[in-house]
Formats: sequence, C-alpha cells, structure tokens
Amino acid sequence: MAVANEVTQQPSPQRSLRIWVQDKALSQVGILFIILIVTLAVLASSNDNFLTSQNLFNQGRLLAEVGLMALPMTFIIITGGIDLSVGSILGLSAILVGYLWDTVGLPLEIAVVLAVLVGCLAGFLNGLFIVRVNVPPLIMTLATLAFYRGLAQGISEARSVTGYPEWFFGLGQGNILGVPTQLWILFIAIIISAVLLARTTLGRTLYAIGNNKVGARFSGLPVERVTLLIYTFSGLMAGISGVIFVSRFTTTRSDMGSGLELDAIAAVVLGGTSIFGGKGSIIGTVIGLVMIQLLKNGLAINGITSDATIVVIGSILIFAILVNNLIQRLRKTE
Amino acid sequence: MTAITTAQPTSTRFKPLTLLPLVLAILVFVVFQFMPFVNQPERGSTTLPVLTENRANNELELPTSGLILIPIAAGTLFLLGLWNLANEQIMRATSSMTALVGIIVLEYYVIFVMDYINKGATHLGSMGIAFWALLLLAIIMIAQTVLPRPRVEREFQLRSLLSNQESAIVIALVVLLLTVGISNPRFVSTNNILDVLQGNAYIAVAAIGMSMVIISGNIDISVGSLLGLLAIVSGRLVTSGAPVWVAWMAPLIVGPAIGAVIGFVIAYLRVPAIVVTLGMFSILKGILIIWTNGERVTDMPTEFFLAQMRPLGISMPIWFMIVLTILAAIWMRYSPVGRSFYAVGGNADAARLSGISQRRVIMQVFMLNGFFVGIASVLYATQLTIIQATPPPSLELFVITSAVVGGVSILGGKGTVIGAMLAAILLNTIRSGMIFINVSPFWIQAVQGILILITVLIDLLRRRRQAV
Amino acid sequence: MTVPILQVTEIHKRFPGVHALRGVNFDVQPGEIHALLGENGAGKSTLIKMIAGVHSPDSGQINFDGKPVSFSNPREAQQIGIATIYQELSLYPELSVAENMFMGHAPKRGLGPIQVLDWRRMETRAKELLAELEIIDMDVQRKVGTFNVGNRQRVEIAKALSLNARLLIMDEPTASLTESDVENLFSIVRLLRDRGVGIIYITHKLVEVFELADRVTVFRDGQFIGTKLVSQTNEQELISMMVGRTIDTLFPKKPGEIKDVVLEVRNLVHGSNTRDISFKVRAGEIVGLAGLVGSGRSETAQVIFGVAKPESGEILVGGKPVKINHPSEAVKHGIAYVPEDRGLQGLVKAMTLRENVSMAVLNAISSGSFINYHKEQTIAKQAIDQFAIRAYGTEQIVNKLSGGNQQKVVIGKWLASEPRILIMDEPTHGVDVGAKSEIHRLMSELAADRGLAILMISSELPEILGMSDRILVMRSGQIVAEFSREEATQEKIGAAMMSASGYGEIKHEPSEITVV
Repeated sequence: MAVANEVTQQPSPQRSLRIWVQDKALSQVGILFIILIVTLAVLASSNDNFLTSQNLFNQGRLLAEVGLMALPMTFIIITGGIDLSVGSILGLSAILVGYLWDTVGLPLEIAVVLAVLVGCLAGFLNGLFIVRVNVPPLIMTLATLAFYRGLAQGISEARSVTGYPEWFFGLGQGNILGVPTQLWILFIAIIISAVLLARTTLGRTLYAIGNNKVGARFSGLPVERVTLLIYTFSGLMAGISGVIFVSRFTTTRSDMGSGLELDAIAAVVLGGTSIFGGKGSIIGTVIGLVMIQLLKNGLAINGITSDATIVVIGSILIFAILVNNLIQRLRKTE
Repeated sequence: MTAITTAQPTSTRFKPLTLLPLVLAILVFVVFQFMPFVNQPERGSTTLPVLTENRANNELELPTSGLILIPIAAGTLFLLGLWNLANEQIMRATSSMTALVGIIVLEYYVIFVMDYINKGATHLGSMGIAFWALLLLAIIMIAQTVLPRPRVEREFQLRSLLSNQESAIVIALVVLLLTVGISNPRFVSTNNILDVLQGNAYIAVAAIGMSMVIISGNIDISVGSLLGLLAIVSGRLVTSGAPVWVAWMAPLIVGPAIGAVIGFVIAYLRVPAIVVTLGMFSILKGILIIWTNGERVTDMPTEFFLAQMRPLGISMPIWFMIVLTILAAIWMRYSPVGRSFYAVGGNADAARLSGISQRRVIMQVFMLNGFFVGIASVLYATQLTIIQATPPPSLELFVITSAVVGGVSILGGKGTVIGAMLAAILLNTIRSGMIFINVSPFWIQAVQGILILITVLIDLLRRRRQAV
Repeated sequence: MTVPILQVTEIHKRFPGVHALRGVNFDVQPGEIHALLGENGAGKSTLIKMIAGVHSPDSGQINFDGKPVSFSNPREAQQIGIATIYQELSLYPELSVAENMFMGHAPKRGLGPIQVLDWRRMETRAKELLAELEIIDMDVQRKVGTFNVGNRQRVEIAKALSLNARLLIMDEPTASLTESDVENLFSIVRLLRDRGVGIIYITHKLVEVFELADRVTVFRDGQFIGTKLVSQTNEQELISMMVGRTIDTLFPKKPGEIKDVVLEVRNLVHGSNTRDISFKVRAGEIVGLAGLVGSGRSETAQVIFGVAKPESGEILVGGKPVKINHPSEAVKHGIAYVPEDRGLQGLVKAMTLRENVSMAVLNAISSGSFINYHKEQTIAKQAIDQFAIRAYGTEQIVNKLSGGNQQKVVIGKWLASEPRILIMDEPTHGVDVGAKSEIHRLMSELAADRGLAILMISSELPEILGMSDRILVMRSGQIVAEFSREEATQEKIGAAMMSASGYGEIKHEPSEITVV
C-alpha cells in the first residue's frame, strides 16, 4: 500500500482531449486501425476488384449479422461476462421465421416480428438466470447454446423452408440508396451503441461492473437491471440477425448461425476489449469486425474456402488476446 | 484449556453391512451358475462364456450376453466388496461402481426371470409395482451401505443418499428404463442396452478427461473437433499402410501433444481457457476439413476395428469405459497429482501456497484430456466401417453435460469421474429412449441444455446453503 | 538470551514509487508472542510477506534460527518451518479437513513402484494435530466449507503444525471471529507459545497486544520505530509511537441542535445478524453503534441500505415507511453508506477520482442518460478541495491513493448525493491519524451544521465515546444497550459488548463449545 507522500502519478492532463488522443493512438485500437489501413491498401493493390463498391458492399452484407451481434457482445464482455448463445439464438429466430410462416401460416411480417421477439426473450432468459440465480455467464450461455440450438433443430426437424415472397429478400439482398439494407441497420446500431457506451450512464455502469461489480452495486448503480438489459439486447440483435440471415440465404436451415459466436467474440476481442472486462470500445469492435471480414475476403480471393477460414478466425481470437495481454502488461510496468 | 467437542461421536470403524454387496454378489453368482433353467438348450445358452456371438440374429430376445455379464458383474462386485473391506475406508469410487454394477446385475436378473416366466415376451409391466418397490429398496440399501459416510452420523439417511450425485444418476437411470420400458419393452432388451452402451462408450471415455479439466477449474469446448481429427489421423494411417497398432497409438500421442499446446497457451500465455478452446474448436475443425477435403476414410483392414472386438463376450468399448473410469477414479483419489487438480480448482491461491503450481496442473490436465480424447477417438474410429470427415456434432456439449450432470461442479474443485461416466450412460440412454418413444432425437440437444442448467442450479443452490 | 528464531536486519524494500520498508530491524524469540503494531500502510504486511517468502528484500538480511536464508517462493519458507495464516484463509471448501491440512505434503505409501496417498495415515495424523491444539472430535472427513470461520481458522493453525512450523505468522486473526472464537484463539496461541513456537501476531488492536503479547514492535511509514516489552509499556506510549504525537485533540466534537427523527428502524430481521433491531436517528445527531466484530452491525446497516432484503420489519424515512430493495432505492430516499470494505465496496479502484466521486449521482448529473462531463468535473474538484484529498487531479486513478485519501473519495462520493442519512461503517479504519482527525471534524460539522443524521459504526471505543451523541451497543445481532453521551464510559460499553460477566477477567477454565 502506498505511503501518502510518495505515490506514482500519471502525467497531469490539461484537457481530456489530449489523453484521449494519446491513449487511443498507442492502444490496441490505434494499432489495429493502422493495420487496417495497411491491409486495405495491400488488398486494393493486389486485386483490381477489391475496391469496387460492389465488392465492398458485398463484404458489408456478409459482416452485418456478425456485426449486429458483436455490438451487445462488446457490452457484455466489458462487464466481464460472455454470451456464447448468440449463434443459437440466430438459428432459432431463423427457424421460427420459416416455421411460423410456413407451418403455422402466419403472415410473414408477423412471423418476422415474433421471431425477433423470441430472440429478445431468449436473451432475457439468459440475463434472468445470470442475474437472479448467479449462474456464471459462461455456463448459462453454454447451456442455452445447446438448448436454443436444440429447440431450433427440434422445431425444424432438419427440414428447410423455401419460397419466400420477393419483398422479403429486400432485407438481406436489397439496397436503400445504393447501400445494402442491412448495412443501414448496422450503421444505426453502431451509432446508438457507441453513444450509449461512451456517453451515457449505462456505459459508465458497464465499465464499473467490469472493474468492480460489488463496488458498483454499493454505489447505487442498477447493476442487475443493466446486466439483464445487455443480455436481452444481445438476444434482440441475434434475432434481427437471424431474420436478415434468412432473407439473405433465401432458405432456413436448422444449423444457421452455428459458430457465429466465435466471429462475434473474435471481433470484440480483436478490437481491444479485454476479455477480463473493464475495458473496451465500440469503435474497436467495428475495426475488429472489418479486419476479420477483410481477412476472409482476402483469403477467399486467393481461393481458400470458407470452411478453412475458420482456422484463421480461431487463430485470430487467441492471438488477439495474447496481444491484448501483452499490451496490458507493458502498460502496467510504465 | 478449552476443548472442542462435536455434537455426535465419529462413526465406528467397521460396519457389518459392508458385507451386504459381497453376500449379494455371491448369491447372484451361485444362482446363475447352478440353477437348472440356465442350461435349457432351446434357449441357446450355456454357462460357459460365449466368445463369439451371432449378433446379426436380432430375433434373439434372450439376454445371452447378459448371462455372461451377470457372473462377470457379480465377480466384480465381489472383488470390490473385498477391497472395501480391506480398506475400511469406504472409497467413493468403489462404492458408486459397486452400486452401478449391483443395479445392472439386478436389472438383468429381473429381465431374465421375467422373460423366462413369460416365455419370450419381455413385459416389464407384467410385474407388480410391489416388486419394483422392493427392487428400489434393495438398491437404496446397497447404495446406503456402500456409498461414503454422510457428514453427520444419523440413522437411515435418505437425504444424504439423494444428495449424492452418483446415486441420483443411478436412480434416474432406473426410473428412465422403467418408464420407457413400460411403453416400449424393446428398449430394455439386452440388445438395445448393450448397443447403447457400446456405441457411446467413447463419449464416456472422453468425459473422463473432461471431468478432470473441469475439476481443475478449466473447460474445453474443442474436444469434438479434436476427436474427429484424431479419428481421421488413425484411419488415414492405417489405410496408407501403417501397422494397425501404430494407427491405434498415434491418437494417444497426438492428442496429448495438442493438449499440451492448449495447456501452454492457457497457463503461460494467460489466455482464458474458454477462449483458447473456442479458438481451437474452429482451428481443429478447419484443419480437419482442409486435410480431408470432405472425403471419408474407408477400406480399413479388419484387424483395425478395435471397437468391434468382444473379449469375454463383452464389447471392447464397454471394457474401456469401465476399466478406464475405475483406473481414473483410483488415480484421482490416490495420486497426489490427482488431488492437486481438486486443489487448484477449489482454491488456486491456497494451492500455490501449498506448493502446487497452477501452470503445471493446467499442462497436466489438458494433456490428460488429450490422452482420453485420443482413446475415445480410436474407439470412435474403429466402430464403423467408415470414418466421417466431419467431427461428431456437438460432442463437446455432450461430454461437458456428462461431466456436469455427473456431479463435477462447473466452478471447479468438486466431482468424480465415476459420476461423469454414469451421467454419460444416462444421457445416451435418454437419447436412445427418445427414439423408442418416438420423440424426434433432434430434441436431445435441447434436453442437454436443460440438464446442464438444472444441475448447475442445484449445485449453486447447494453451495449457497453451505456457505457459512 | 537464546538464538532468535527469526532475525531481520536492515531490510529495505521498494515498490514502484514507494519505499515500503526502510531499514527494518526485528527479531522473534522462540516461545514468544511478538505483536506487530501499526496502521495500514505502515509496512507490516510487506515485512510479513518477505518473511513468508512472497517477496524478497532489496537489501538486508533475514536469519532463521541463526542461519541466513533467502526464499524464492513461499514454499521454501514453509519448508524450513515458517507458517503464515492470512486473513483470507487459504483453504479448499470442497475438500475435507484432513486433505486441507496435508495438501502438498500428504503422507504417502508405496504400492509397488508408485507412491499413493495414504488416506488413513493422513486422517490419523490430522486428528493427532488437532488434539495437540486441544481440539478433539472434529470430523476430519468433513468438508471444510461446512465449518464456521472459527473452526476453519483452527484447521489452518493445525495445518501450520503439520508443517512443523517453528515460526507462526498470524495476520489480523481476530478480524472475523466471534467472541468465543477469539477466546479459543488466544488459548491456542498461548499453547503454541508455551511449546516453543515463535509467533508474530499482527494487529492494530491495542487491547490484543496487552492481552496476549510478550513483546510489541511498532511500525510507522515503513520504519521500525521500536520494540518494547509489553509489561514495560502502556497504551499511551504505544499510540504515540504509532502516531508520532500524543493525542489529545483527536476528537473535536461540535455541539449542535438535534431535531426530528429522520431514520427509524422497527423490528428489522435479517438472518442471524439482524434480529429484531429497532432504533431511531435524528437530524443533527450522531449515533454510535458499538459492538464486536460479528455482532451484526454492518449487516444491519447493509439491510437499511438495500444491499440485502429484510425478512421482516420496517424502515421509516422522515416518518414514512419505505421499501428498500436495492442500494439505488436507498440513495433515492437520501440514505448514504460509507462501507467498511473500502476497496471492494467503496470504490472502483481502476477508475479515476472523477468517475468514483460521481458514481452515486450519475443520474442526477445526467440530462436524459447523457452524462454531463462538466458537472462531473465540478463535483470532483469540489471534493478534492473540500476534503483536502492529496491527488494530482480529477483524473487520478484511485488505486494509487493512500488509505486516508481513498476514504475521502468515498466520503466525497456519498456527500455529493446530498443525503439526509449518512451511515459510516468504520470510517477511520486503516486511515492515518491526520486524515482520521479530519474525518472526525467533517462528521461533526455535517451533523451540527448541515443537520445530517449520522449512524457511525465503529470498533474503536474512544472514537465512539468522542463522537457520539448517543451510543447503541449490538451483540449477536441484537441491540443490548443504549447510553447517552454523558453516562457512557468505556467500561459500560465494553461490558455490554461482551457477555454479562464483563471484560478484563478472561477465565482460563475449560469450557464446552460445540462445533457448529
């Protein structure tokens, strides 16, 4: 414990802006951003098709689902939790769209809304047990990963649904003002999430929980309510992604979304959010997301199948945390 | 000077009731060796072990292999009872094993007797409820005497019996067999039960390693991919001309090697286990897909099919499952390394002060896990004539569920490998049962999820009540 | 004079930015209880960790039994006979008593070529060791997690015996013990002393020093101040050694007008720590809540604050009954709670001063949900000025502040919420004397000038006597006595805190205590 007279100090800031810039430039996010620019440049120069708006928008389509799920995942990981069930919730939502429309006979609009609501509910269930019963998030979402996927499989019985009306594909395959629909949705979600995290009481509460949950609670912060909220939010985003997924793929299959939690977590962690909680940002997640998509794109251009890219994503996940650990250790010894 | 006294005296050393399983074992052994109806020629059975059996004959309703199983089981009970006695210490592993075997024995006995009585039909429902109640009571008595002493000595302890996870699983298993068996008797036919056990024993073997991992406070969600990869390794080796034993041994080396890598990243590079294994899950799966290009492995030589062998009439996977579980249970109890897993999982800081290195334990436990997955992969690879290019779906989930439902606390520091094996059997029986009552097996994953939740909930509630 | 079991000479230890130990000299004789006294941050913990092998000294020498030693890890210290019992007991709740005692050095026997654990010998030996501590009939197969704190501590001590400890270090061992457990502990410690074990007993309670120790060493600011024979010193002298000045003006209390009842608690029940509690606190009044550790004071306060839900009973604020299910609701009713565990409950250590100070009033300073950064800054600066917090600015990470300054941040946070009722739980615990005095002055002003109703929980009787208008005494979850400021004395309060037989005459007779 430090003696009062001799305490190490940080450089005294004149303005918050200065530390903000300093902090960011030398952080994981900053470095990542630079790597991103470099990668873009490399890919652009090696392949003529790369910088076309067609290709870029296409990449945007591909990353939208993971992107939507990565936003609440950022919140969750900042609080020190994790949500492994997002892929399964996506699958469940996707199946429900098909099931409610095809088997039950509801109008497609209603089916979509209900499917998203179920996603919300699934996330809420996660949050409920995590908050009320104190089940560790890892275990809870591992169990629901099985449970929701099981529900999806049970409901669909491995049959796929096709034959959706044309307008439905507008969501996943259409454009608004020349930009893919889902990108607009993603864009709005990013703005909202970023603002929430950086500027609101919700965001501050998240960081507090991640650093010291007990202390946050004792300070009167609504820890339980916020935790429940972010898991519900995660379910909501997964639900929306599920609908977009169906719209993009034009069919529903019961194994949809399987493994996407990996991508989402990788994007979050790559973007500088500490897996141990307490630190992170939306902009970092976005950069991480784009980086991963670029990598996938780069690999695809060079003829590597999508199955094999999971090797890369898995490696990135581990590697990103290694780098994060290293940076944190370097920071501590400053 | 102050003296501190407990409320009740500690238990006495020797309990005559410990002899009960021994007595039962002898009884059963005698009955089935020397009773006349065993030798009926038209039933196609003899008292001698049948080394090869025509299992293609599905009309055979008689539990022929059951006849072999019963003396073997009785013999095991006998030996274990002896050991109990020698130890005075009632070893948890032995006790549970004894209970399980006792129940299998009794079950077969019941089926056989009923089959004999009904001359071909196996209707569980034809027996009175009274009989089942008596059977259950007998089971409880056995379990009560051989299972470890409860915390505080009281007389007949129903609560402590139920609070023992292993016995709860066994009871659940019996209830399951009973309920499904009533609606579809073929479910409890020997053929089916043995099928279930044999076909899925590899999961129980993998669950041994997973139990150790979770007890030490970690987790591994990459076992499915690892198993699939190792199976292909084994198959490819043998189809490219390597001797069969090399193909069998290779996963036992590659598995721990990969485990060592995982352990290293967790222990020395400080990446949380969940993330490393999440990443490895994809990495290994990707490697598998790239390497095989989606092609299955076929045309393995007949000597390769280890899992289809039946020493002493019992199929190899079942041998592996039981023997490995017992060995692992003994090892966990009696070896300092095994106990150190419990220490690190229970209180890593205290363990460090006791001189137990958490890093070393992580390396050890993940290498062991790789070893058990290796064995499981050999069993899996040699079971059918083709090895798939994709890993068995959701295997890691099944294995984790087995461990958790088997009493291994997900928070670490608690649980047994025996429990995991029992739970694996239970889960597989559930899966099989679902088919028999015409429930789509697609729901099994949902069931797994619910089971994990319930078990974890109970564990959490129990811990909360205990916290002083 | 015999060879000391431990001799520490001119030890220096520096951590980044802190000179934690400066030229410390210290020795322990075999068969002595040597108390180590000093406020938090004085260097006791660092010295202990060095002896236990957790850290190594930058310079200086440690001699054990006359021979120089140096440890690269705690295990080596253990192996030559130094055992440490920390405040957070290092036990495995899911494993049995015997296993806990012998983890890492279990008796083995050979089974063929391999060594297996010898369970029977382990349990026999465990029973023997417990018997040496006069503990008979503890079920060594029972899971340690099922025992209460006192018994668990005994297991730890027995564990130390199993390591053939010749030097036993105990770090604030009575922190979470009940009264009878403390008695038991003292007996055990004396027993060990009589057996020739050297004991280092860390405490900040002077009472224990005079009760138990043979010699006492005082630390202050990382420096060794002096060692005295307990029989040749008194409280006043020790305090002045700890503090560097005599204390006469430590508790300036301002008289003020006491008005209406602001907080009333009726028949509050929560578990065994809050059993049918009723009391009132008025505006402008400071109510001191005295009691031993474990008497239920913090638990009661936390029930009032909404951390735990009461099983029955009522809480009335300003005369109106309220339901408080969460700290956020308590804040809305104007209740503030400065917690006992500063690091865990009071602050988010990784965050800045500004963020910590604003934490209780985030909603109030936000428009919509958006935090008003400017207002935050203002509040933070105010706190720094008002409480003379020694920090470099509002962006200082509070982890780096001293105990006293951290406490000021916590107080600043809660005062920013403009409460009507302020509950302070051990407000000057682990705080240097200068800050202590400031906090007392602050409390006095808050009550007298601003009319706050203050409930002060404290284990230091002088503080209770000096600050309170009224004193309540809790024991085993109930309020057993009430005194006014005029009629209260240390003896009366002490008597009420302990059992009816009184304090100061601890009888060393056999007594039967049941293991729960």
